[in-house]
Amino acid sequence: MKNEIKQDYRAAVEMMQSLQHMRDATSMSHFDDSIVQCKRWQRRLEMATQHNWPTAARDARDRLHGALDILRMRTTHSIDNLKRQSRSHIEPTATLIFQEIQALRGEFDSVTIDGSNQRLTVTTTSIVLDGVLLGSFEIRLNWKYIKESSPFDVIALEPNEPASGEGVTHPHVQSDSLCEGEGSDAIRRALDEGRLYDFFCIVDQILRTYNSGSAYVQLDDWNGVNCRSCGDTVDSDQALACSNCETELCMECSTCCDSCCERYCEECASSCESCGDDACKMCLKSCDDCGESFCPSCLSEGTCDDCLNNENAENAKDEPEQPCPAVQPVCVGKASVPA
Amino acid sequence: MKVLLISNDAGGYAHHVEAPDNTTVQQMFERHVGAFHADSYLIRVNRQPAAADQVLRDGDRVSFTPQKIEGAA
Repeated sequence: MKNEIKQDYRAAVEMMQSLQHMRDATSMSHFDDSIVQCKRWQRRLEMATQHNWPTAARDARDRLHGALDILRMRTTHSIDNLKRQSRSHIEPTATLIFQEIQALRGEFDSVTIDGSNQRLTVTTTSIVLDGVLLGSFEIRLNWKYIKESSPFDVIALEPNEPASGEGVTHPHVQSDSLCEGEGSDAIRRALDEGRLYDFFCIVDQILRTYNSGSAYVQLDDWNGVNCRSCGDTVDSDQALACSNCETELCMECSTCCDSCCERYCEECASSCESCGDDACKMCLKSCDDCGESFCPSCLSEGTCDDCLNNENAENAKDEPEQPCPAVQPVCVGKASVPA
Repeated sequence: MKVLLISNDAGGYAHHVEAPDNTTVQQMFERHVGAFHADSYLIRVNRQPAAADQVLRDGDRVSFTPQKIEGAA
């Protein structure tokens, strides 16, 4: 217990330092450097123009453009930081952050501190949205990066990923990253002010809310199957697997073999060269003569009808004509037999 | 008395507000958030769950966190 308190306080001090660093980032020194650069290239441009040095003038203009761009970017960042500061009404202190961590231990079942990785982690209880079990999640705050836009990860502990979305573990979590939506400002402000308790509660509530209007994967499609051909999601009980390669397909994208009556994907199905019926590649056989593919009913002893007809025609042509037997007169050659 | 009020709705602002003595949690909510819906918010006083009729004290920290905060994609 005593060690836990020490650990919590040490973490609070480090977080305070990270937040302090964020506030120091608003110093004007980098801003001054940019202004010096702009003035420098402005002078070069004026000089080159006065002396009619077109190449030097072009170079100075390009560099001045770049320096002004950097100045503009730094100005925007400085304004953003000032806005953040003006919005904050709570000055974080190590003691306040320590109290926040202590309160987290009362709110969440599991709160862990990984000092070496500068990570504070809480575990949510199991989350079920619209009947879909998503399990519990770890919310990991990387306090080293607390000043950055999204310094935390959301990791599913028993991931129930939808078939169609790789890396999606929650309608609003992809690749362990939460899309904060309407919680964005509240999260940023809570972190800026060192209100970790609020931060974790807000993230927890976002995870317990389903916004069907903006989700990586709709919960209606969660347990569905993604047709590998057209990409549509179909209910798992309506999906079909190719009988050969087991690719999952919707009904429209599967082909029924007229010979074996199994269903196949586009890759494993074809059609008979003769009758045009759909047939799988297992049922289709090559004609021994022409090599084309035919369904079983269009082959006779390994040969297609066309080749058989051609063969018969050839045979008929090659056969020698039979001489007509001479017609013998009646009774010719017969001898009378004495009674 | 002065109370630190934290409303973790869209703005997530936190500021100190003046309140009459014996102000309850519900009164604070109605004054600064709107019609009281205890079921729709996590209500905490000094980071502990609080009842609607809990009387606030000077220096308390009161937070209202919506139970529905919509994420996006």
